[in-house]
Amino acid sequence: MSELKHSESSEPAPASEQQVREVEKHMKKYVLIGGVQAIMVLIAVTVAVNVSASLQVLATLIVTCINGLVIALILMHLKEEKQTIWKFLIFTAIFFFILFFLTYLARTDLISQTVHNHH
Amino acid sequence: MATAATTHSHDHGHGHDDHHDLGFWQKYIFSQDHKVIGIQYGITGLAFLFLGFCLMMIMRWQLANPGVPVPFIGPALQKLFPAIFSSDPNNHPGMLTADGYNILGAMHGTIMVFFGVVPVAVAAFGNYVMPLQVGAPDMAFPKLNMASYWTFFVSCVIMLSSFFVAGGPAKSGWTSYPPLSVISDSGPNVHPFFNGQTIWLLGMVFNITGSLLGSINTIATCIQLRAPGMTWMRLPFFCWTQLVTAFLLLLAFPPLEAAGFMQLMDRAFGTSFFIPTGLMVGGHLTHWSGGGSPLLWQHLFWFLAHPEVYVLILPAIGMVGEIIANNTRKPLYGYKAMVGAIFVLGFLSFVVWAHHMYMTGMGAKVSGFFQTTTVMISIPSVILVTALLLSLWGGSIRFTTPMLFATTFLPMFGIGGLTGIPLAFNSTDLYLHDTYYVIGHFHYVVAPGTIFAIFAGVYYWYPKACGRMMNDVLGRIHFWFSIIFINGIFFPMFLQGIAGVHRRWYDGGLTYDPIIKPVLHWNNFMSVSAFLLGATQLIFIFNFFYSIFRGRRVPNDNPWDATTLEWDTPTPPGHGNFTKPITVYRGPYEYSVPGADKDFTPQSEPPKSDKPAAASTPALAH
Amino acid sequence: MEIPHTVTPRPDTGLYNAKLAIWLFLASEVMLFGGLFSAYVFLRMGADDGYWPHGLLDVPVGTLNTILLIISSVCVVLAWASLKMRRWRQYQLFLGSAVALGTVFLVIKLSYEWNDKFHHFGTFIKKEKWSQYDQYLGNDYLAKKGLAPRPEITGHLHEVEVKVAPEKKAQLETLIKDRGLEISKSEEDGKALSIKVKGPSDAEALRNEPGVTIEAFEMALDEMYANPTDPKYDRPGFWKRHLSEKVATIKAEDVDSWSAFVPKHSSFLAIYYAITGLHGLHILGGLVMFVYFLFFDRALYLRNPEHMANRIEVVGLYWHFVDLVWIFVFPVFYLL
Repeated sequence: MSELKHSESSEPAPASEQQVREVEKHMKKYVLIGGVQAIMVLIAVTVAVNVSASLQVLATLIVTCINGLVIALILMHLKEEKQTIWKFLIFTAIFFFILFFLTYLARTDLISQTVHNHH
Repeated sequence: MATAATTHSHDHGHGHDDHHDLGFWQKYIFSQDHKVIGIQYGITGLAFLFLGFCLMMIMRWQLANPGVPVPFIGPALQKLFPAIFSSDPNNHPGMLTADGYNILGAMHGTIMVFFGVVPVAVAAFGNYVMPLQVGAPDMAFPKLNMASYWTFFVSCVIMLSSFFVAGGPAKSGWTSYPPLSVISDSGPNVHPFFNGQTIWLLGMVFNITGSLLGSINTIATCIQLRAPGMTWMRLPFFCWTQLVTAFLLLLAFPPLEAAGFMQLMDRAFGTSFFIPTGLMVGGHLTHWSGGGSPLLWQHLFWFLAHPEVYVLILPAIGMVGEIIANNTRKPLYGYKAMVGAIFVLGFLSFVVWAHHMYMTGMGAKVSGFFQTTTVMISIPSVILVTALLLSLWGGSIRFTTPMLFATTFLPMFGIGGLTGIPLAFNSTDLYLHDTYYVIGHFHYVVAPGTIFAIFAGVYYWYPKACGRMMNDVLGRIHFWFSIIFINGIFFPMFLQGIAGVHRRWYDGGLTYDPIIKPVLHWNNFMSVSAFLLGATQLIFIFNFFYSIFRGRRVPNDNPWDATTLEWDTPTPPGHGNFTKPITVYRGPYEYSVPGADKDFTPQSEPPKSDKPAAASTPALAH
Repeated sequence: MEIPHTVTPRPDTGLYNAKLAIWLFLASEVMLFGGLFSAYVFLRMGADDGYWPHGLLDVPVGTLNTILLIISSVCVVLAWASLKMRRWRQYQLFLGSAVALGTVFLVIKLSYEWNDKFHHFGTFIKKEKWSQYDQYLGNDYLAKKGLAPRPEITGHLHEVEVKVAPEKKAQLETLIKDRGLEISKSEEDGKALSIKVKGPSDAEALRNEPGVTIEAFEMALDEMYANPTDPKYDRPGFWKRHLSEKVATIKAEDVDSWSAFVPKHSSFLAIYYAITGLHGLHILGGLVMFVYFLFFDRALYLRNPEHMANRIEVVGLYWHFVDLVWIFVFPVFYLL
């Protein structure tokens, strides 16, 4: 092991041919995904501008979520990760949604309505 | 995609080389060793616990003797802290002002929770004991560990500095509710930025950051650095509690950090995140744009603060579990159920927060949801306490000093938990909210609860860290006086609360004298108990430092005859912890195994060759 | 003493330590930005009709920024792939591009978007005075169409009319001179003094000046207020609000609150600055890490290239997350 320490200044061994081909295949995929995302952003903008006001929120958020999933699953390699990370992230996602749902509920469910309901 | 090109070396961690000598600064101050960092957290945290206790004693003086200047140290206090003390009508200095009482109340809460209990129970014990118990050479990220302590240290300095600015420290409660917290500490006599509330917010931001870095480290260590053979179900119960606590901190703190930023923006940039439209202060319309919501702060604050209280209790339950197993000489009853209960508790703790907000005008759906989840969360708590209680049944109980504190934890936590039940229902909470009943409830859980568990942990693990035992006689005196006086302080609070005494009256209720007269006299009793409790702690402090130099030396590395891995190290453990590679062969509480020659079998002891071990081979089984 | 699994993954979890740590950190960041987004939802739902502004943000510029960030994300992952193939030059090229793109993002955001807002001015008219200003607000027309009213008049501030107590006059003149302002109409027999201002910050200085009361604002209107009943302004505009030729005078007593488009202007801008500011700080942090790995970590690459590749993977995950946050920020603030 000490010989390696002495030759610190030399470049590491180059990757094998087969490894290079593998990685390059993936590199093409990433560029493609990037292009797809850019298009999706443009779609989101077009959708938001042209859709009626009531649909606007839902439609835009759907496109955004798809975009986000693409980043997470492919660029961040989520779909290749083991169960540990998945389970844990799904847990976080659940908390996230509970938080938002309760925020909504806190705004809409007020005591004045409760009192009103009983009359 | 893991096309790993070959690594020419073995796993080279970036832990520093132990071939060269570390200087004093790197060994004791900017250390990356989890044991040193654990002790640093411990000393800092204990110092803040002491400070928080002193703040409380001043408050209790006022409650028992409203308007009477603090004796002896009154003049000095007034000189040092003019925002908190002033002279009484006869010009005697050292009387607590109304604002001063609010300051002490807010700072007592903040300091005890974020600068006292969490650093000691979670960071100190977690850092010191957990890596040893999983069989790791250190935490997963030693540099990050050091960074998290020093970030915490910066937050301590910031928080303490608030005592010395014009206007004094934060005075809007540890809960810091707007609009009061946004408009307080502003005006002509106060600096626009260096004032109590703004500094409080800044200190909290640093505290939270340190906490987050620490919890990442804890989780990574627990998952990745378990020794070979340490499967999940062989993990000591304390490690499970630390793991779940770390998750609570990781996920619950960030919304408070976000809310802290927003309150800082409200104070520094005039935004209206929490300011409602048309706010009037002192009879004048304010100039804010409005459109904000004070309720938003409450939601974000309690989203953290509820899991925070489980952060306060879980490590305590963990430590009590370890000590009970060791001192009953039998395994913990219902280990699997307890682990399950901790996870359920952790999850549920995220969805109960608005039970602190029943009085904010929420409708039936929202409050129904929270009442249900709050009642549900009592189930895992009961499972935990019952399992610990049942662990005592049939045991050979040794009432060592740690065991005294650990067993007392159970009924004390029981009282705390049971008194929480009327608070869970909004019908009864309507009456009890913001009364002394609430204060009694949560103090029972934290003070004779968590703090007793901390004492138990200190007495228990002290021999491993110092190589000497703490004095046993002094320990028992400490225990008996503490248990008596602490109940003296907190039990009457239930009586006062039910009579309607409000939790933040600075004069002890004098203004409402006719209504609450029957319970007013308890103030005196409680304050005397508080001072006597304080005096008792001096015994502990003396014992702690004295035993470092003159304590009885431990007879061997494992003075309690325990089974978990931390007792397998030299005393105190050196850099890298274990002198030989560790393999785990059995569960954490193999006490009194039938047919064994000793009444305990350490986790790392290889099975006898003629008795094929039921435990699996030391491969990394999941 | 070595920490196990720093580079080689642990078999049962399939992870090396840093990767687990970064996912944990990202989970906490999800909660952090989630807290801010839930604040957005809370504030928006609680806003009175018409008080949640739309069309304050420049959508084409925002779209450009989004695409820049996407490209930089792809560059980072390509940089990681280059390291896996042990191509140092290529790695430097890709990571350098990511840094450049990230920097351009920040420059556009701070020097163009934010800067432009700091010079834009708005006054919220008191509800009872809306009818007086209907020629600018057009609320009658909007009410007939069932659309939300407009409570605010925006544009560029030109002049401020003030009244000053006689003993403070000298101080005011010093202020005017210090800030390089011009007096356009002098005080005559109790009439107000009219000061030409260069931007809203001058008005703030006047507001804070003791003894000075602001009486009126003279501002060039955004085109929407010059022609409020034009149907093309019914839905919020996505382009930068252009100024019209029209100038209006608004009395201070008719105004609830006024300011530049700074955080205190409205809850919308407050949460906008909070989220984009925090996001910007995260971008900055990422850029600092990239610069370190570009220029100061070659020694690790030579010693243990796999460890280096892991570091870039981990920092890449962080960068993708920052991009992901922006993917949500952009539609929520710019489009909705």
